[in-house]
Amino acid sequence: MRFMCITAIMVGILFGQETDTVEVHPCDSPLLEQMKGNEKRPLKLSQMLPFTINVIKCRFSERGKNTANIRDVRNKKMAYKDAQQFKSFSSTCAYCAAVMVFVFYLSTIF
Amino acid sequence: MLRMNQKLFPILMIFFTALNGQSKLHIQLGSGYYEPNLAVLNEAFGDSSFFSTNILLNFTATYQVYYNTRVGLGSWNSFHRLKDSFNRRFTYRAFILETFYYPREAIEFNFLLAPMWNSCDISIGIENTNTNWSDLLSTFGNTGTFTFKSTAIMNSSWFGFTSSIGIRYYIKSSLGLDLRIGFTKNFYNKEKWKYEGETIIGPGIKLDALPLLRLGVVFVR
Repeated sequence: MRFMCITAIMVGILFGQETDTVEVHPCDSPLLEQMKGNEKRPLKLSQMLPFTINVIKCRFSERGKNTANIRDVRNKKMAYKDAQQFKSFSSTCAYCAAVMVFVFYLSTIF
Repeated sequence: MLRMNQKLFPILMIFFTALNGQSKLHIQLGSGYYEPNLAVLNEAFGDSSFFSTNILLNFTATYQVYYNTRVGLGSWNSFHRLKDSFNRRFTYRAFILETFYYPREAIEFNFLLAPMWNSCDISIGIENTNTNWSDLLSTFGNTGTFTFKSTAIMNSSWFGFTSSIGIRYYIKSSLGLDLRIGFTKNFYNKEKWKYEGETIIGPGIKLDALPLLRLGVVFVR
């Protein structure tokens, strides 16, 4: 009877305690930080799965979506800026391709 | 030797820097419509369908090597499979030089020039019996007749050329839709087929100048 009481009190105390952990956003995970920047260190095999889970969680979180949107807009702008005009020989190739297609379709008509 | 290396090294460095600096790999999966005249072939097979005759399945991988230029490889395939009978497969392989520009953000006009190396395989799976094989197996205590499978193939390859102009809309910076119109020119010769190393006469199909319409989904990395 005494043993039962002691066990019950012990289990009660253990389950009664609030866990002393701080919720870390997946995007702030130390593993993600470790893989960023120039001095990134390789992951251990055991860290691969948590890293992948955090990457996916981060990507689908509100913060991850916002970051992806910002990156998407920036990439589109960069692509437009780099290639809004033909440079060097690339226009010659474009002329060749366009003329060849045009002549081919003309030849099928006449 | 030293002088050559002194020139070669900076050239290689510039080349690899240009490649790495603009690393953009474009993978395209799509479909194409073309109009070859395969009447002789389809008559011989006794079967034809719109899908096997006019539809091409496409995989293309290109790499951006300059602001407006991509180079890469493309493959278009047309299949015709008959159950327990012949299989026919056209493979059009293109070595792509593609230039492009953006008239507006997210919209790209592209122009493609590509020499091609194309081929056609006609094959059939054959089930054979061989008395020597059956005799050998019977000496081990096996009874009955045993068959083995083999494949007979005739094939031909020819040079070609393709050109197209197209428009691409980027839904995201890494995902786009691509529509193209163009043509392929094939130098097919029915007298240059091979069967078991021997030159034979193949089907008189008409592939010389074909209009081509392509639609694809592009993934950019």
